[in-house]
Amino acid sequence: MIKLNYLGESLCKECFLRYFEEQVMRVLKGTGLLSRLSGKLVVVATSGGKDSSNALYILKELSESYDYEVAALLVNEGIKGYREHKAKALRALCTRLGVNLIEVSMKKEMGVTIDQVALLHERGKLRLKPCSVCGVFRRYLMNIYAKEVGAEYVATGHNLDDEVQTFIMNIIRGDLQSIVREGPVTRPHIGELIPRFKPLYYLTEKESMLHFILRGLETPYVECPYAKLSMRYQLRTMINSLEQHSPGTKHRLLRVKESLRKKLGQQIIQQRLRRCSLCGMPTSHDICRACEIKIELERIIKA
Amino acid sequence: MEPTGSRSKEANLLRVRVDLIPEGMKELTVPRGTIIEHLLHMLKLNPEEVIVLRGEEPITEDEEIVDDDCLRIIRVVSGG
Repeated sequence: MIKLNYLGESLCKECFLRYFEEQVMRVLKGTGLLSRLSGKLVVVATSGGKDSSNALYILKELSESYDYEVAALLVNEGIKGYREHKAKALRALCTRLGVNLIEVSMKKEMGVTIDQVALLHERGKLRLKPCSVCGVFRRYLMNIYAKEVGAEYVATGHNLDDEVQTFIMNIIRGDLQSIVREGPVTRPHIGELIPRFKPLYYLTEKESMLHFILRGLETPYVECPYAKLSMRYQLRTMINSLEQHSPGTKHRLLRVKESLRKKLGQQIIQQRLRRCSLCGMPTSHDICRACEIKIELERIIKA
Repeated sequence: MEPTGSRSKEANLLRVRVDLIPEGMKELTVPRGTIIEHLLHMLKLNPEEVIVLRGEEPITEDEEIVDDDCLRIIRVVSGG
């Protein structure tokens, strides 16, 4: 039996797996994606961890009924003692599912590994935390490669916990534009950015792990050594503690976010995007964030 | 014959082996009637952040611990 504390309900394995799929369908139907997927290629941004593996598994499973193609994309950021184990699990999963895996090296594409970035941060040479660099570079490469293989959509493994943490982080930063932008689907109004969607948007991290176990999926339990440096890590512990004492907190926060997105969406004008003067990718500035960081890193490394 | 005080105390204690992933194996003694939620509290774990398995089956936090129980606790939270 599986207990969903926020609902006060216990489900058997079969009912839980059905519930899980219903929540994924809620994203696909609610955003109108389902009717547009036929004949298209969906690239799943995968890491070998439970969330993106679940996203890959379930999107592959649904692909036959809804007639679309699925491929997996891994951005290898070069974190030793972590990435090689997760990548191995991912390769095995892709073989099992019969999914094509595209592997991209961050070192080759951006000139650095996140291990190098973390070292520069630790030595006080770089103000940015490894997670910030990793996030920007990852999204950048994901978009380039998904476009290169002709994908119409990119799916990511973000779950409800991630969304709530991001919501709180955006409140702390006072970033209303990001609150409006970060929904179950992101539809950019410029051609070079591929629309992204989040099949696990309404599912908690715990539900994601349960699905992973019940489907017999496997991953080595190694953690990114830099995760603890991020604000997200602290927020996660705090929000989980609130959830423990007041079940339903996370779902209520997601609902607040959704109603804010609706209300603010009409008032907040999203920044107009133009092309990065260096790489040509969309940006709201003269130079995109990925190029900006790349230049800064090159300067620090040369010095 | 009535059991002696110490024996009756022993009869009320249960042995449980916990494989905490990734930390490793732990052996604990808990009073009869202890439920998973209490065990997690003893281990300073938030139920929201772990999944408890008996064999291959996930179990709920209101389930009672049985004698010679063998549990696996998997941490849900992971970085990346």
